[in-house]
Amino acid sequence: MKKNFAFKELFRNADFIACVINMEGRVLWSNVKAEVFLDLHPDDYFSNCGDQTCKEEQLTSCRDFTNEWDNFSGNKVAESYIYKKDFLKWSVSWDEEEKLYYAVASFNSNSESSEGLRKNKENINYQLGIIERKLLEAALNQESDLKEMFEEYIKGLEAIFTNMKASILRVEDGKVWHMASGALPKSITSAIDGQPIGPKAGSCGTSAYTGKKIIVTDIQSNELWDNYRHFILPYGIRACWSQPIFNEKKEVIATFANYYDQTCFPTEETLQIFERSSSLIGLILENIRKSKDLKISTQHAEYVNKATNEAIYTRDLGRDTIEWSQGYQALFGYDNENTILSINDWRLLVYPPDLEKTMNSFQEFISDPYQHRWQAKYRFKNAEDNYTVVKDQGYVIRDKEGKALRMIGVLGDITLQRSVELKKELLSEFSTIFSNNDNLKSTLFEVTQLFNEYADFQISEIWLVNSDKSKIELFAGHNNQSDNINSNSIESYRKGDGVPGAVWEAGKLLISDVANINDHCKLNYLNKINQIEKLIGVPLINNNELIGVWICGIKENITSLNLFREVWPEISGQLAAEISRKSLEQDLQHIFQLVPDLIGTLDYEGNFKRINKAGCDLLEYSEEKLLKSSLLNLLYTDNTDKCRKTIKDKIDYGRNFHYECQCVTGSGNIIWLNWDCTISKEEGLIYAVAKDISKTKELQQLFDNAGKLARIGSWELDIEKNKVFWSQITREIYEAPQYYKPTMESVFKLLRKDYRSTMERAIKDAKEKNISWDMELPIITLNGKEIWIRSIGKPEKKNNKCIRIYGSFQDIDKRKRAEDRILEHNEILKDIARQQSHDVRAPVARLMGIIDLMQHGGLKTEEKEELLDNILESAEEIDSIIRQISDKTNFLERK
Amino acid sequence: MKLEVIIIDDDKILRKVLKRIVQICNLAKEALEFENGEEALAYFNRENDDSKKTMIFLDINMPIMNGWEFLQGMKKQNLLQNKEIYLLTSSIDKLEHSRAEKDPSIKDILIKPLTIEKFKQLMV
Repeated sequence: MKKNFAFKELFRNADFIACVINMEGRVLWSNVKAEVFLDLHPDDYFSNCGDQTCKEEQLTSCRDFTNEWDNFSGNKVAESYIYKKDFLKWSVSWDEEEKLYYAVASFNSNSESSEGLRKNKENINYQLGIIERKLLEAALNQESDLKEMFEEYIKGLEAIFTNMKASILRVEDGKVWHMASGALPKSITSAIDGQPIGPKAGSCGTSAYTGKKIIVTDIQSNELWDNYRHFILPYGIRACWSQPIFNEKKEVIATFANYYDQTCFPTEETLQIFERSSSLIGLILENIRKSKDLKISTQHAEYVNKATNEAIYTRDLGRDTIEWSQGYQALFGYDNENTILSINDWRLLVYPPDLEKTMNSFQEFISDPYQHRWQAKYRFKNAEDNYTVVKDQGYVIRDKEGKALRMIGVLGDITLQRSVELKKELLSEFSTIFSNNDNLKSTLFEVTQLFNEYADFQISEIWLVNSDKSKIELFAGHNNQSDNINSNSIESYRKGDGVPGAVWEAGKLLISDVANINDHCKLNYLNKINQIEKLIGVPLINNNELIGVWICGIKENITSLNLFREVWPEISGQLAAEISRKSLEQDLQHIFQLVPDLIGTLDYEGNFKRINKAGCDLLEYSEEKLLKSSLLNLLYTDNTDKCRKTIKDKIDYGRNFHYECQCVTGSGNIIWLNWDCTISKEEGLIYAVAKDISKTKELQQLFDNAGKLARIGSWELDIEKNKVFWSQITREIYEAPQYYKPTMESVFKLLRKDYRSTMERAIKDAKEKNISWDMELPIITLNGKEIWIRSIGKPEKKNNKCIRIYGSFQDIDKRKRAEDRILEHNEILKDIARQQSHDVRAPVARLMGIIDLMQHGGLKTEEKEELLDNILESAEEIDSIIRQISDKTNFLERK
Repeated sequence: MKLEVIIIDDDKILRKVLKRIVQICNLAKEALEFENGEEALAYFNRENDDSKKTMIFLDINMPIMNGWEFLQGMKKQNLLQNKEIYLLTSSIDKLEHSRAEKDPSIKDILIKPLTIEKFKQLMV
């Protein structure tokens, strides 16, 4: 592997053909030159063993080569050799271990004229080929010492060209240092070390400085050598040419120099060889640098890998294999040996429910020729048979037609990240589910479904504590496949019983092994009991109160459990809050719909925005119709503008107002409504409650009429504000005009003098002792007339203080006067009675006394006669008295 | 012991009849008569003799000073010693009766007409 990689790196852009060929003659890799020359294209090496007939020809020609190489090599023994065919001269190296040929080929020169020269050249080329191949082989071996490698090469060169010495100088920081110097005397090389480059710094220094090939045919006379010839001439060196070697950035990194002991001009051929050597040295130096960089970068990648918990893979879409690099083992715990997986192996590692979705997404991506990046999240099985949540990100390499060839990808463990996402997703789903209008039961049913979808629970149930907190009841359950809860299932538990009751009692998360829970508690999950291993009971706590328990059943799966542990505190808290809110909302909705009064919201134009059932019933319109109309259109009035203005004034004035109006209902009835409105300026809404007060209004009317007939008015003393209020009838009784403003003083002033103290005392008692009064008093009206009234007063207390006294005021003058007359008559009648008892009885008694005396007194006749006169006298007196009584009676009758 | 009988009534005939009944019943040979309370009170102020037992027949309804006022005057001047007071009334008014019953200085109430028989019973 390492050799393969290094070879490719070394010759990718070389000026000659390089390729890697397997035993069958398939070109596994070729460099740019080979592509041009052999008409091979990048990536073909992957597919050329496929069905493409257009490549067959090349394949055949390659086979021809390799078949011949076999002959040469002596049945694939590990050796290197040179082989010429047509216009190419191949230098081939067989690697027994890898069963691969590493081949480089250069072009044969056909310009040779003389056979001798041609043979010489062939010999030279042949020998050059050998030392070059050795150099390359050494370069491929990463263990090789650079200096040694080049020394060897230079010795080889010096052996071929005996009149020449060569050197390779390293250029660094504007100075030169010898790297390989072959037969050059040591004193020269040590003198060269550290010499600055410059416009006149010998051949190498100047070449390094100018970046140009410098040919000095005579050191003695060439000015470039002015500063240096003194220490080189003594060693018999007379000519020197030097070639700069560039790195990728076109910076001179080295020079390659040839020295001759005679002044001479380079032939075209020597220049060719000179350039060929320079270019090879350049390639090797650049490659070594790249290898170093690559090594560093590979190390970086490894460190990054270790740090990021990611596994890198290459997916071969032709062969349908996945090859893992570093990270795979660390991340998933698999052996280092199984780094190549077939797609079927991979499929077995993906969590089954996630597989289809992932595959579909990949297929869709792969078939779109313009897509290069793919991403998916799924669960991936690790060596311990647990699932890790992974994020798979891949970059695909496509051919010109857009066909996907390979994908380089990264698989990252996002289990923790997933928990954060899961939380977000669940919370978002919650708010969607809870914000719809369904009732709590169907909402929670959806929630349990959600858990199954997101977290692969086999069982998900929500149990809620009932209103009197005596039991916990199954509210919504989702038994993954069968939704029918069997008839034996238990739907409520007392505190402490069953898993839900136990969680209720404990108030904390409980995880039970299914094996350890008693049979009775398994009743609800009979059809699932074999598929689950753990029952988890999560307390749903809102405002420190446990409102319910969420039960879920899962397979033994550490990832799920870990994921669950990450998410449940937040999820359950949110769920509990949502349930409480929904439950409250439902209760409020019930109240909203069931209250007997109209409840609704209106905008400032009076348009209904919401109205309850009672409101619809009261107004005798459908909800739909009311929501399209304005209260103003329902008012029973000739002056809608005035009503609108009244309402607008009230809105402008303050937050709350009270309004009574008559409305026409759907059936044409006219009803009185009493509105209590609260204005929400933030929302631009009026929250309104309206009561039907038609009956009250009727009664009020009746009462007013009765009051008018009985001349009963009302009054009120506002103690706090020291104000007096009189109703219309009270005013009439006082004969007070509309503009007259009664005061406390006027109340006393308008009483007959002798009753003022009575009223003062009554008010004092009402204020201080909370005593009501009911008295008859004579008042003096504003027209000066004395009339009798009946005043009833009742104090009202607030915070133990009398704040007002109110009561009725009745004109009883006629009755009072009638009573007076009756009293007068009574006096007369009493008088009559007295006269009857005394005045009449006195003479009668006297008469009786006389007669008794006459009968029993033994009186003499004279005495008796005298008494007879007295009898007559008494009789006359009686007669006179009876006349008087008669006169008095007649007088009464006349009255 | 000498018994003095005094009749106070504005009715002249009644005084005459009562005086005769007193004689017939042997209460006293003579009885003193007064037309109203004032006259009688003046007499007792002038002639009062505590040692003499005195029976007073007192009418209630009289001009100038009625029976109650006379009684009050007597009490005030401490003249009721040795006096037996009999209230005379033609009224059947319960109020007057109850008032009389509450007054310890009144020995009895005599409802007119006054007969010899009633007096005889009174003397027993």
